[in-house]
Amino acid sequence: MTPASVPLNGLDPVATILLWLAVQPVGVGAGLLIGGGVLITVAGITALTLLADRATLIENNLVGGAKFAFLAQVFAALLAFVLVDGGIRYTNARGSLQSEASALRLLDETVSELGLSAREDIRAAIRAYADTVIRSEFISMQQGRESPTAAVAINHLIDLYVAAAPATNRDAMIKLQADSFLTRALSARADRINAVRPGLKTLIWVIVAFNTGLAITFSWFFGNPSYIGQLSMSVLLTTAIMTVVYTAILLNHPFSGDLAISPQPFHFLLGH
Amino acid sequence: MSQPEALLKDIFGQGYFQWLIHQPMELILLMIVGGGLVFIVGGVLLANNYMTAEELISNTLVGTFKFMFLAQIFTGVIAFIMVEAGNRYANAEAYVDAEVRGLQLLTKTVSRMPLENQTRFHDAMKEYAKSVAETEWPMMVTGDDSPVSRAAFRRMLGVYFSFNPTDTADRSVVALGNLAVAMVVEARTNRLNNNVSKEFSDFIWVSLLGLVIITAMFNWFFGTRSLLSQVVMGISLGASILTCIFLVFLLSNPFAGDAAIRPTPFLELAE
Repeated sequence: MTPASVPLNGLDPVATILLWLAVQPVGVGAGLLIGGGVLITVAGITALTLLADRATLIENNLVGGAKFAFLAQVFAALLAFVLVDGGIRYTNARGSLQSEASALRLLDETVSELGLSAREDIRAAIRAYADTVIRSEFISMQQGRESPTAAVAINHLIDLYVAAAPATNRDAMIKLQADSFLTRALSARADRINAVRPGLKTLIWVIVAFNTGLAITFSWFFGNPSYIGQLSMSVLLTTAIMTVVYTAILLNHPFSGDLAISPQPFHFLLGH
Repeated sequence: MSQPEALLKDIFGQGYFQWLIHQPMELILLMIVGGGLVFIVGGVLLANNYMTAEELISNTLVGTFKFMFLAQIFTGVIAFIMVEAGNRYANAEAYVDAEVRGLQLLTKTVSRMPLENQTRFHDAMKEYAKSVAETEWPMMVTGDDSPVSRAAFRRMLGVYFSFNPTDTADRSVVALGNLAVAMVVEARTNRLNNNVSKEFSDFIWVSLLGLVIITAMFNWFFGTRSLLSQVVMGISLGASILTCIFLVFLLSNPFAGDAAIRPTPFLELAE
């Protein structure tokens, strides 16, 4: 999906900015975030160098260094949390997508053995659902929600499946097996949608942004006889911080941007 | 009542944390971050009043190493609690979702029942969903279930299991229904047990509170010649720590307060 075609409406401002960053090509997204951070750092260091007394800034180093190192630890814990949380979400989303597609494929295979007239209707409903997931739900999931169209499609599939009453023992046995594939697909679908659910994401990212700002601005108040030395070290630090923040943003948007999880398992289901 | 909980109630009155989580989010932020910053800045000003700048600066040399050691311990604790609280919140959302989806599937499978049984089942299911949203939700804050919901749940399952399948088609639908029942029972159990380690959490909170106070007090004994620098740096570090604490506090209470998971899916089922 191209960045321009991702709908950004209906989201809060923080979620909109994050999604907008996530759907950009990696070069653009990383460039904007890291470049923005570096620009702010350069402006802050330059302003402090011009406005504050250098000797006073150098005096801050001893106490400030200890506090800055403590802040670094707390910030590292916060970043580790968003990275771990994002990593788990990303892995769960990919795993549940594959589980759902394979369960649907097994359901399709099993249903094809039924001697019921509704057999082809159920198989068509499986394909229609898979098609809706690819076309509609992959877009909705970028905004952290399921697609109403896909929900209708899965409900239609369940209705057809439940209504198909087996008349023979053979069909009953086959349907018994198919039941487990259907419930497995439903559980995997729920896991897939849960992996992108926003939860307290906005609040978490506001706190990450606030702490990122603190981590970047804190170093402005240190003094160094060399302006270039001070500037270079701060720029390097900001680059490292913003790179990790950008990685966390991408991991928390598993269906967006260049690193998005592909709907390939569902394409495979349709092609089967 | 666990010892830490009793201790907290003794110190803060009737369940300070329980009271705090039910306040508006802005007030919680103000109390945790604002209150913490007042404690930090007040201490810095007090220390500067009683000790000379030279004494405070000489503390800094030795204090730095100890402060760094404390930072490592603090990071270990806050990282652990943040991940644990984040998991608890995400799991709570997943369990609610799984239970609602299981109930929806179960509702579809009763279509083979006689009309009277279907009506009874729908009524019982709606009654259960309503009781979860209205009576069980507030009780889950303390990790309890509602006797009303428990009884409604039993009634709903009783109606479902009263159906006697007579032919192959009926038995087939019941088989799928039984899987849906298993999904619902498992999700309900998980939802209710999500807060079961409450005593453990309270102990963790007391430890964390202790660490935050120690960290804040440690700051008081460092000094520079510029009081303004000292206050600004103290506020920056304090704000970073306290915003993390604020986040953990909200995440560890998935069923209470402004940031709580809402019972909307159950209310929709009850309609």
